[in-house]
Amino acid sequence: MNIVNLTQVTYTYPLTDKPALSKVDLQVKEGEFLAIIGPNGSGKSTLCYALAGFVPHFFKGELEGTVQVAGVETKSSTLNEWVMNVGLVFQNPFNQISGAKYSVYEEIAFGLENMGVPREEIKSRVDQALILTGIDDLADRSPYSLSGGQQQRVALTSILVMQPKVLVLDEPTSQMDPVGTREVFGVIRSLTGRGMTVVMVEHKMEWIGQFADRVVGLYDGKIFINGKPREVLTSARLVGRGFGISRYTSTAREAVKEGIWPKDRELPVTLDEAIKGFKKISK
Amino acid sequence: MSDLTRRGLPSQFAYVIISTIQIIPQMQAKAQTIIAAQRSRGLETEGSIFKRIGALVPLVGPLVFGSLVEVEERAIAIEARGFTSTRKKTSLREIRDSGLDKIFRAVLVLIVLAIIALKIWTH
Repeated sequence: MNIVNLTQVTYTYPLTDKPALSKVDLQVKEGEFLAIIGPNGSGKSTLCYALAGFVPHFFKGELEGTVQVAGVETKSSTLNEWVMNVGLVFQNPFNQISGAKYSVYEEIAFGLENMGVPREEIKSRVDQALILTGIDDLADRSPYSLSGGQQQRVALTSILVMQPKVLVLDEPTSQMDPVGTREVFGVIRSLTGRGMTVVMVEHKMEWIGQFADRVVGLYDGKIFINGKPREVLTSARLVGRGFGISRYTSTAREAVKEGIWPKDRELPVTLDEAIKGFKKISK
Repeated sequence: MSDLTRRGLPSQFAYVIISTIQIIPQMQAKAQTIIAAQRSRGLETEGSIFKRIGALVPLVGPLVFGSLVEVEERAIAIEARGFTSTRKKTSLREIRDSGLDKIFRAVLVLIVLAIIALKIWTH
């Protein structure tokens, strides 16, 4: 059952000539964890905005093709309908703190207040959400007193509490340290375990290799590659095009050139795979 | 903020007022960072009044443009939290307007009027 259906989507931002997205076809199954990779300027953020309805409803401009997410179709809807169904989290945690609330608890309740949810229900949903993302100990703190990683988890929680059907994340861990990254991926894994559909733009290939069900690569506004994480992340097509490549994959690729790593063996994506692979060689 | 909107102030205005209070210290911190960065590139911030005013120029650009980018992102973020929804908003906290609050407000208004009257009187 496809919960996301993009057909021949082409979009150009106002006052620009070149389309940011060009004839994009993309389907995502319900409950799938899709990772999106691509060099800078390849249209990843635009794709996230299109999935969340902000393209075109917020940015204006012409959108061709159809975008259908969680039963809502772009042309026949308003941004408010999108926001109920699709959650959006992006890179900079600081800009996702509303600034209108003095505690983390209230910050998380903000979305539910806007949706007109009754007070008792707000409290129970916020309480649950705080535990889900493990930030219940931060509930009384001011959002501005938190570290970047903590703020990002607050941002994620304030979107999750709205119970979107699809969660779109645009490089959510790019400004976080390894511990924070692990925490965010941990939360996302528990969400996909419960059947939430997640679309995430990421550069950290090792993490994608471990968690994603499928990987799509964008290049120049077009879908460049689409497949299982292993195939995509070790594909030679990524080389020399500005895609981030896992250091373990690159090292093993060099090792193949030197005749150290056997040509017919799969290239590693994660540290564990690299260790296993190189251990076999040294035996 | 919900108290302000309850009294009829459009939510966008209420938001601007409330968020500005929290964001000013953050902007100050940002300005400090920009000044430090520019100084490390040779900007002179000591000396004559002209030098010091001149030192503001390389600060304004990054601060303003940086803020514009951040404002757009924040607009998207609050939009993503349903801020412009036309549904009737609810409030987590009950803000009670007690008799004491009303009296306090009336007294403050009277004080302001008295100060204005005094200024006019003594001129």
